[in-house]
Amino acid sequence: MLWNFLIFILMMLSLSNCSSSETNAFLSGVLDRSLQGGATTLDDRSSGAFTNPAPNLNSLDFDLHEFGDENFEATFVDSGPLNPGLGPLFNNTSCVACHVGNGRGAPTIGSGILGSQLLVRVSIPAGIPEVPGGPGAVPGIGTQIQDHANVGSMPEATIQINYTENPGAYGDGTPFSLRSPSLVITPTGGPLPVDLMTSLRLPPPVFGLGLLEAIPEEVIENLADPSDSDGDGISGRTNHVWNPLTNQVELGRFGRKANTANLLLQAAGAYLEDMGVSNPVLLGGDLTPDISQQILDSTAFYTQTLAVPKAILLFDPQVIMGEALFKQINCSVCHVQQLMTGPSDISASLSFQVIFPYTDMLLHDMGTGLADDRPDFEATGTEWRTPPLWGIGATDIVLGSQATYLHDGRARSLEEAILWHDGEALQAKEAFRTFTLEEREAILAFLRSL
Amino acid sequence: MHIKIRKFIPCFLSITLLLGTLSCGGSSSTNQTSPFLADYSAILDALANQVAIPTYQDLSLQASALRDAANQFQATPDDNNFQLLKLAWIAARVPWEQGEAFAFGPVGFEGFDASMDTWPIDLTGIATVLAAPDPIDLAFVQALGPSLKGYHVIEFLIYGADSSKIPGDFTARELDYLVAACQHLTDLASDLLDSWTIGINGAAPFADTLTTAGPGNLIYPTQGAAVLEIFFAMTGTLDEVANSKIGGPLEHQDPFLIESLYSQNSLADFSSNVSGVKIVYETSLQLLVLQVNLLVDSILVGKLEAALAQLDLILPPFEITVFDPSQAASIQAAIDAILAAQTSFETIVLPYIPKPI
Repeated sequence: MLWNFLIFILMMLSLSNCSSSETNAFLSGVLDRSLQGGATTLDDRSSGAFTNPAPNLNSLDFDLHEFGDENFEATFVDSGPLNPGLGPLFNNTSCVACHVGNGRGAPTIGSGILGSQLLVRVSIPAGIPEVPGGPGAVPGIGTQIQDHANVGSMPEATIQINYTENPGAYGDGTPFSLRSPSLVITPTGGPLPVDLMTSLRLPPPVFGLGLLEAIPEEVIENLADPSDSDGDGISGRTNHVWNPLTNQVELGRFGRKANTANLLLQAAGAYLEDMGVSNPVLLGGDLTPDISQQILDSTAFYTQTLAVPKAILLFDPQVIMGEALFKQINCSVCHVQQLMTGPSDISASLSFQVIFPYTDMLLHDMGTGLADDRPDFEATGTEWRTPPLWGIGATDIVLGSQATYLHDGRARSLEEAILWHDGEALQAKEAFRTFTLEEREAILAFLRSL
Repeated sequence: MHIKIRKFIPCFLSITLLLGTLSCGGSSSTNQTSPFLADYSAILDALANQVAIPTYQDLSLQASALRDAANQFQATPDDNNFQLLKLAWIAARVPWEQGEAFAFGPVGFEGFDASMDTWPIDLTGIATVLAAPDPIDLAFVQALGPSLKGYHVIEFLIYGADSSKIPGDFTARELDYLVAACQHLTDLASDLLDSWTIGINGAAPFADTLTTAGPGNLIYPTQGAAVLEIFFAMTGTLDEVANSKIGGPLEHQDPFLIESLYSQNSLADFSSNVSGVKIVYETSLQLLVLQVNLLVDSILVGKLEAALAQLDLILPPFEITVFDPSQAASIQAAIDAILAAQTSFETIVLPYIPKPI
């Protein structure tokens, strides 16, 4: 551990392209927050910013990461000699087709050239959960609508998104408009239940996830304040979800509502639900899996060992001002800036890293405007897990004109994403809304530096 | 073949560490030996207006010619028109493969790559489409998934599974599928060009986005970020050609990992990729290198020419040669030459590329 720490210090000193003042700042105890992923950080702000292997992987881990990369990019087809097993029902045909450049997906659904990168989760209150404690499944559909199918099969439904514009204004009178989505689901089978609950989901970025997985459970539990005992108006709860591998309830970490315990299960679920590709963890009714355990493991490993892009402009006055305001208005209470990973049994590269993810991994009530009104394990219909903000500044270069934010891609800019905050984040949102233009731009400059 | 975004490799960290350590002190990047320029506008303008737009203009023209050849073959499916059709498909591959050397921007995030060049194709789905009674027209193909349209579905329809198709083998539905798929490809190529010249889906023309890199530009907030994008696209292409496109089939001895299996055009695809890198370099980044060191420029051009020469030495067709153990050395030599070019760019040129911030 000491050796790891020494290497970490050396890397920070050299990677930071340091000036003497920067070095002094570090030596005086200020950790370099540009190294957002600790030693897994890499200085890349190109459109491939999220696609790099963590630079501290050993050769064995690097080879496994590369194999996982191939599998993450693999396009599945119905049958044939290469990558068979797609469907018959699915949302998209490869991991990377939705996680564009390993970032978030585009807010698209249907048969256009971008296909369905959004998906719709469904459940009914009286439905039978597919796993203990989970959402009630919709008979004949399950908990996710597959809106594509192999040739010769029918998808479960076609889905259309309509948007309503909601005008508003900043404190200085500058107008803005927020769009809220509504779904038109046309089933190909029988009618949908009248009490159907839906949740539109935009794929999240997949880099840095191994670090989040390596945060000790007690650290996350200690950040929780379910009864708001400190009276700051912000609570934060953990989700507890079923792990079919251990057959027990565990801390939920991943997914928009922290409804998945670990990345292996996340990958297994994506293969089965998003692509119709059965696997050794989730067979989905198949007698034999479409992919091997080796492929599943490598895909999960790929998402565990991607580099986190380095933050930029640390000493830019506007960014410094934005960071101060970010903390002043309590954004950082949920978007926790600094955490430390524990020992990782996935890769030594992930162990004991000081990271700057800007998440507490907790569920927060975000108000009725963002609510999907669809409980997911212990998460209520208004709760969402705090998304990490590291790398969010590279979203535009990765996704270009398709860059959107929040769980369903409704926010067309970072400003809109902030303005949608409500519930526990109402005070922070209002502070931003009533800031001067200079202050708002400083906050945005800080976010774009991450 | 699906565009693969380039990646750093671990050894790059060592280079970064070294450069970072050497530059500690804060003044080395601004002293008289600094290779950095005050303005990179000429490089960005050259990439947009002398490489990307002309390449996509050519792509649009060649795709239209392929569509016309498909229509002509459907009207008169004779040997002459069949040969013209095959030549048109091969010609339409050249600008697409050259374009992989600057495969950033709308070609990726607007979905063109997936819809135009997905691999593998869905052979079962194609058979089902051909056996079904539904009319096959443009709207039908537009609604199909990416593995049921694009270059390689067209290639399969033209050449057949064993590359031995003759005009008499074509069914009426295959011709309908071919014509509709070629029209769709043509439309996509036109849209891709538009994305750089006039903008699509409400976005600004991507050429403007690239050439206006700097403060206020959300995608490229500095010129350095844009120059780095060009650099990584080039080196990423070299990496993919060597390690995936050639190295993959060689290592795994799997025909379904080969770039253009049915047409046996893979060697030409590889050369187009490398020549695309050479075009990008000689039109844009060379402007930077020439101001620093003439010798470096000659080394880089020499490496790329050596890579192209080694590709030329592989006995065609690659689709057969790759399974011949006696030819493995020549294939490996091409891989090595391409990787040598990549390494030269990463070790020699990268220090001249300004950091994004």
